[in-house]
Amino acid sequence: MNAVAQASSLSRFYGMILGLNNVSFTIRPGITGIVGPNGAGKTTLFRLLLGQIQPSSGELTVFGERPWNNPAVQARLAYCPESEAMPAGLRPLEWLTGLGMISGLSARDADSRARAALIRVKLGAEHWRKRVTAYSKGMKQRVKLAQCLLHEPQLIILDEPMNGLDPMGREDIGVILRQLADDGVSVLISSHILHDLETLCADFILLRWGRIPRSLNEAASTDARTRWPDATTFRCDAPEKLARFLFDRDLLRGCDIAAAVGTLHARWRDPEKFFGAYHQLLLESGVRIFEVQDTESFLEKAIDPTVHS
Amino acid sequence: MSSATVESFLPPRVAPNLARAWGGLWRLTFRRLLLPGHWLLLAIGLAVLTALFAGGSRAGGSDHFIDWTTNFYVTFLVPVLSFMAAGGVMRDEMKSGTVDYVLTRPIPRPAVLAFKYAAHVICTQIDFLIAFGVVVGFAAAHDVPGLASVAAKFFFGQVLMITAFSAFGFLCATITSRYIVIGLAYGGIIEAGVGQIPTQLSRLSMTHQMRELLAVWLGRVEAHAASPGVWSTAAIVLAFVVVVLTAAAVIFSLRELSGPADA
Repeated sequence: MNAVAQASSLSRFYGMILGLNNVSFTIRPGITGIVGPNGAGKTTLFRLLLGQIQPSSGELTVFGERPWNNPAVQARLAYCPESEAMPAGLRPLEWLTGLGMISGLSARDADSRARAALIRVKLGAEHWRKRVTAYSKGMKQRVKLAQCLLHEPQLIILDEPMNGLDPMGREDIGVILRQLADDGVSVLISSHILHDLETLCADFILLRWGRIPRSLNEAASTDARTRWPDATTFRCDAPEKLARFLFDRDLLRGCDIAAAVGTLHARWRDPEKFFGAYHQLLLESGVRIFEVQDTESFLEKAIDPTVHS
Repeated sequence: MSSATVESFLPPRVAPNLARAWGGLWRLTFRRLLLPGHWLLLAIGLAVLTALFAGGSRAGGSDHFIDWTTNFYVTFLVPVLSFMAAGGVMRDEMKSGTVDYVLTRPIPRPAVLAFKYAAHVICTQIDFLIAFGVVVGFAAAHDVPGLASVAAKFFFGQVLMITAFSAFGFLCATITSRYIVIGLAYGGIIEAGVGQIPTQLSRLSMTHQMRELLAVWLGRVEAHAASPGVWSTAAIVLAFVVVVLTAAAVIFSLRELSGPADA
């Protein structure tokens, strides 16, 4: 399959300020997560892909063409910005119909697609008479996603689309993005809610200080995601007994016990040894287990500065 | 990244279409006219205009009224308000809330600017058409002879001034968000300075062009060989619009729309 976007030694500076520094990557079809702390260069990367700014050096192609000011590329793209700024005084249907027409749809098609998009993002028709500036944060996120769907783009770029959404809303957006990916639409998504990204994305690009450190991206690779977790939290009826049992078998490197809430936070000496005999060991311990949870997600581990400094 | 890969991508599912894009931009612009806040602002503006006319044109007869309307309304108030409104619209257009939704769509930036300008000028002409009712009302109160003819000439001047200074507002706001600073500098140097020099240089001033035309046209000064004609004045003002909009389109096309704050 063709790469949707490719960058080679791509840099972007704003005078003395660093945006992106000599990054190379390939974005393949499917859902790709962009992860990094504030100021890592995510928005710069998005603006470069959208053709809003030019690279300072290096090469970037989207759908095989340079994106800067290129309507042929923009016809295949859609963008959902992080900003909540929206045009004053417009109702969602008016706004979406106008934007659909700017994308090349007839007035009738734009109107019907705007309605379909609003229904798809589960913004009820009872809200369509309100002005978009009066919407709650979650409703704005839904309208912003709806405006991406009007012209059936082949690549959708979403900057923090989960902000302000409750868990149900995040699940709704996740379902839509998976459907889009199944329909062959590529999705590039940034979010600070790493668990959502982990469940959604097949690929990741991890950015820090304008770079794509190899160690970070190896930590988020498909191979890394199949490794056992380094730490696990158990909620059980006897955390001290469980800790003693695991220490006796030389499985633990360390642990924290919160007896009041009945949890044991176990840091593994050799996680493969424990997870290889997981069921048998827990049965032998004689402790009633109520919940087992990974303490850190692989993305959290990947972007942990203490690990990769 | 070879060019061979270009052909293997599917074409866009919706082909870009400039006529439809104009329709979309017109809809988004025209809706602002219908906002309650806009009508409130217009009502306040009309009240202020009425007060200004009541105060400024009170003394003297119809000749004083014609001079006052020419010098204050057509060649000062209308250009200033048109400039401010157009600059504000373009400045808003450059903000992330609009840029991210419109300029990421498949429409060349010069077309965005031209369509936005056309839609904005139409809306501004509608607003000033209502304001023009105040001018006609005061002209009738002053028993201006040949009211219909005088009103038509003022209206012609108003239309041209809105067209010219809206374009200039677009240009200034494309250059910087502090477009009023450029406007003040231009107003001081060209309109108030060069426009008053009694040489051909004064023709650089659009308000001077219009003042001269209206003075001759309305019989306030005698026509002579060098007096401006209707068509030549209209041609000069429209040429100014074309030059200014072309410059704005070039700047808008080359401008990168994000700063380090976004990085």
